[in-house]
Amino acid sequence: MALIEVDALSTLFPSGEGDLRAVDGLSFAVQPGETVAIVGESGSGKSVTVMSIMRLLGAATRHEGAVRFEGRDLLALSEAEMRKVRGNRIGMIFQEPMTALNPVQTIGSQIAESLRLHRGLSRRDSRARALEMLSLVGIPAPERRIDEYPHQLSGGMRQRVMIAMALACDPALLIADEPTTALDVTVQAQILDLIREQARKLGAGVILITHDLGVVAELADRVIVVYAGRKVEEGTAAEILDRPRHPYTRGLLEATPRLRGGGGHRAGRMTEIPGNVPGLAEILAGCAFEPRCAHAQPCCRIERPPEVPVAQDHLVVCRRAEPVS
Amino acid sequence: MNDMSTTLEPMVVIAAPPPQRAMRIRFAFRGLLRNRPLAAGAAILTAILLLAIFAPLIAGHDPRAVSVGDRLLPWGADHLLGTDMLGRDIFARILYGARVSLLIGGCCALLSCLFGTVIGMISASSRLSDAIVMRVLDGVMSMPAVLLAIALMAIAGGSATNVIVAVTIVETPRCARLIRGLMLSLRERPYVEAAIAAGSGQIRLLTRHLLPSLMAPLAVQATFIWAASMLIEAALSFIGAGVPPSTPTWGNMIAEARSLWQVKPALIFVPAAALSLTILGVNLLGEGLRQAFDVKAGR
Repeated sequence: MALIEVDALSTLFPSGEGDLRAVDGLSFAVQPGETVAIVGESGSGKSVTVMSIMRLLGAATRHEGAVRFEGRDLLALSEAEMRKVRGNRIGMIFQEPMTALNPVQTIGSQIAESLRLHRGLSRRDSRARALEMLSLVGIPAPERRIDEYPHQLSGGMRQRVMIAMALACDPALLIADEPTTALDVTVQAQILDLIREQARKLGAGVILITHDLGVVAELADRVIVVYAGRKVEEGTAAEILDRPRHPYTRGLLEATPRLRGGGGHRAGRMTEIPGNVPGLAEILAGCAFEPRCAHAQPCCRIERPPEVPVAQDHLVVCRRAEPVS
Repeated sequence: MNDMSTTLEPMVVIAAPPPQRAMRIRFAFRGLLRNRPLAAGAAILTAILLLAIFAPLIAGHDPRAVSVGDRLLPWGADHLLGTDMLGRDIFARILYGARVSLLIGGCCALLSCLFGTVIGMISASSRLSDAIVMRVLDGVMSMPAVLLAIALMAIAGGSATNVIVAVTIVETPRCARLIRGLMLSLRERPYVEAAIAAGSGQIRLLTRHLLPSLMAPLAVQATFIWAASMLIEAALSFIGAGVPPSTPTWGNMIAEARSLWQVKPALIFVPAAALSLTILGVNLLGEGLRQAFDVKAGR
C-alpha cells in the first residue's frame, strides 16, 4: 500500500478576480522507502503542493481532492489531529536554512522541541536524543554545538540541523522543499547524501521538491514533472531523464547547463522554452503548456490531454504521445 | 553532480576550543560595557534609583518639615542644596521626588507594555479583530495625554494611581501598534512556518517562537514610555493636576519655585536638572538597548 496518496489535489487561493488555482488536480503516490521528486520551474505549484499536504497555507485557502496518509485523509483532519501528524509522522526540511531556524533559540532546544511535543520526553531525555540526532546528521562535536545559536553555524551546518529536526521523531514521510538550493555546490552533495542515507535507514518515503535536475538524478527513484499546477509527465528517474516524452520535460532538460566531454563549455547558447508560465487566474480548457508548445495542434487548446502510458512506469499527459501497445 | 559526491574528500573540521561558560559571560559583560549609551544610561539610572530607594537614610531631613526660620538658606553642610521658601530641605525633596518620578515612570512602562502586548496580539490574530482594535486605538491615541489626565484628575481626584492610569491609557496604543506590526511580520518568518510544520500549536508558537523575538523591541519601547510618562507626570504636578502637592515631586517643586526663581535660581534649576538627568539616563538606556539588539543575530 502506498505510504501517501495524493488524489486529484487542487489548491485554490481566493482572490478578487476569482479563485487562483495553484495546484490543479494533481495525483501521485509515494511508497515506503521511495524517493519521489516533484520537478518544475518557479511558480509551477511544487511548493504549494507540499504545503497543502502539510496544511500550512492558512485558513483562506481551499482544497479539493484528498491526501491519504496512513489511512486518513489529511485534508479532513481537525487542526489538533493535524498537529500530531506534523513533525511526528511527516518531517519537513525547508529551503532556507538561514531563516528557517529560530535565531533566539539554541539548536538543541529546537531539535528537542518536537520530541517533547510528540514523544512527551523529559528535558533531559529530549536533550540526549537531540545530541544523538546532531551526531547522526554529521555535526562535529555535537555536545558543544547543541548549545549554540543558528548564527554560529554555517549554511550547511544549519541545513544539517534542519534535517535533524525533521528526522527527530522518526517520521514515515520526509518532505524536502528545495533542500539544497541555498547551499554551496560542494555542501549540496553532502546534504543529499545525508538525506538519502537517513531516509533509507528509517525506511521513510521522501517527497523532494526541486528544479535542479542534477538533484533529481542524484536522489530520486521516481519523477513527477509539474507545469502550471498540473502533472505533465511521471516515470522512473531513469526513464524521465533519458527518454523524456513531454515537450515541456524535454525543454526543461535541454535548458540545463552542462559540461561537455573534454572539459570545454558547449558551444552556443543554452536552449530556453519560449513564453511564460500562464497566470493562475487564467482558465485553461486544454493543455496548460499548449501556448508554449512547438508541437501544439488546434485540439490541444480545447481539450485536456489524456494520461498516456508510453512505457512501463512512464506516463505522459500529452495528446501527441504514442501509447505502448 | 553525480560524480561530485564521490570525488569529495571527507569534510575536514577545524574547531576552536569552546569558550567556558564563565568566560562567555565575561565576554558578554565586556561587550555591554563597550556599548557606551547602555553603560552610561545604566550608571545614571542605577545611581538615581539607589538614591531614591535609600532616600530616608541619605536625606537627613524630612522633606515635608517646614521651618520658617530656615527659609531660602544657601547650600551648605546641613542643607546640602539649601532650603526653599518654607525652609524645607531641597536635597531631601529631590530624593523623595525621584521616588515618585521613577515609580510612576516604571509602572506606566510596565503596564503599557503588558496591556499593549496583549492588545497587539489580539489585534494581529485575525483580520476582523485587527480592524476593530486598531480603530479603537486610533481613537485613544488622538487624545492628548495631559488633557486626558486632567480630565481624569477632575473626576477621580489627584493621586499617583490616577496619574499612572491616565498615562497608561495613552501609552498603551503605541505599544499595541508596535506589537501588532511585529507579530504580522514575524508570522511570515520561515522559522515560524517551520515551527508549525514541526507540530507546534498556537500557544507554543506564541511563547516559544514569537514572544522571545518581541522582547528586544519591547524593552526599547518600554524605555521610551518610561521617559515620556515621567515628563507627563512632571507636567501634571506642575499644573497641580497630578500627585497631591503634599508629596514632593520634581514637577510641583518647579511649580512652587516659579515666583522665587529670580531670587534663588537653584529652586527651579535643581529639580529641572534632576528630571533632565533621569530622562537622559532612560533615553541612553533605550538607545543602548536598541544598539545591543541590532548587532546581535544580524536581524
